[in-house]
Amino acid sequence: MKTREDVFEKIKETLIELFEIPEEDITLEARLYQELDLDSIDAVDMIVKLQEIVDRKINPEEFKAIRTVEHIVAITYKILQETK
Amino acid sequence: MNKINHYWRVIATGIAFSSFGLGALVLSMLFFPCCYILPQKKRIKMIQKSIHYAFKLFIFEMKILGIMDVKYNGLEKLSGVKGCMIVSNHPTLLDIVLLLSVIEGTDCIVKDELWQNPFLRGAVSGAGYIPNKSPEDLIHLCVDRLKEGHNIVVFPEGTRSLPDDLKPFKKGFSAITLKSNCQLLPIFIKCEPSTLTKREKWYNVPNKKFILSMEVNEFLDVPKITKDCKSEIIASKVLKNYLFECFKEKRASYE
Repeated sequence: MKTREDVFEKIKETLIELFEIPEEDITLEARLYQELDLDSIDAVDMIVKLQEIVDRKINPEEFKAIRTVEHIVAITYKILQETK
Repeated sequence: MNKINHYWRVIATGIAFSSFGLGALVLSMLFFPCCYILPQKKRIKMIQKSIHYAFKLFIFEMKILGIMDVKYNGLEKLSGVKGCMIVSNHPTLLDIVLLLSVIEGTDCIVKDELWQNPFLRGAVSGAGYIPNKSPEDLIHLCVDRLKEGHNIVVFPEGTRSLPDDLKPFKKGFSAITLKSNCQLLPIFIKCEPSTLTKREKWYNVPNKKFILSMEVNEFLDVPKITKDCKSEIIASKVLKNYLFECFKEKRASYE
């Protein structure tokens, strides 16, 4: 995964696979809790899955403030850059 | 006459609230500390039992004062329940009091801040209630308790319902139910006319005595509801949505 677009595609794939969210609902701006029907319980599952993707432990604290798909993409992208 | 009755109910509500606070203080300063000489399991059982009777008394007091009436339906389903997830909607401040007054021993998921509340701290920690902190710990703790045979009361809306609608449900209860393979029992509560909601102050009493009705529904057939689900994550979403629709229909049928 090189670009933010790649990361977004991967996140999208993950959201569809884990939570069966309709593909067309997943945009960068989509709000996780209000629009995608996710909650803190899902965040736990999401973090587990992301850890597999980035192959690193993620501190749940980093996830406290996320609100949109874009936030997940940004955090994942940042971690990937750092671990390079 | 109506005016007198209105003022009486304001005063009576004040009396009820004060006696609740006083009762909570007396129990947590005198009785609960004594329970700590018991081993932990017995202490928790004893304190939960005393909360059950204190709440029974409080409901009785509210009835005697003429502030409210209570209607029960299907209470027999609660007798002898063990290791059961009990979920309810949350229209008023009194719901938990009502629920605990009919269920003798049960754990509750309680918001974390109550451990800082001087009136309730003694009760929530003494009774071994479960603080709603991190979702991971919460799930593990609840699953363990259910497996030990404790019941757990949860409000899946996470906070009080809106006066005219249910709030969206959270998945905690469904994830816990699926992970522990426990029974799931919905209880529907209705308050007519609406009072003691999140927006109202306690002294804004309704224009007449309010009636709290409590209906214990049938146990849900969780395996059947979730049989087509690919994963546990999906199943917990499906179960949550299913229960939400049940409560919504119930609400609509009352209107």
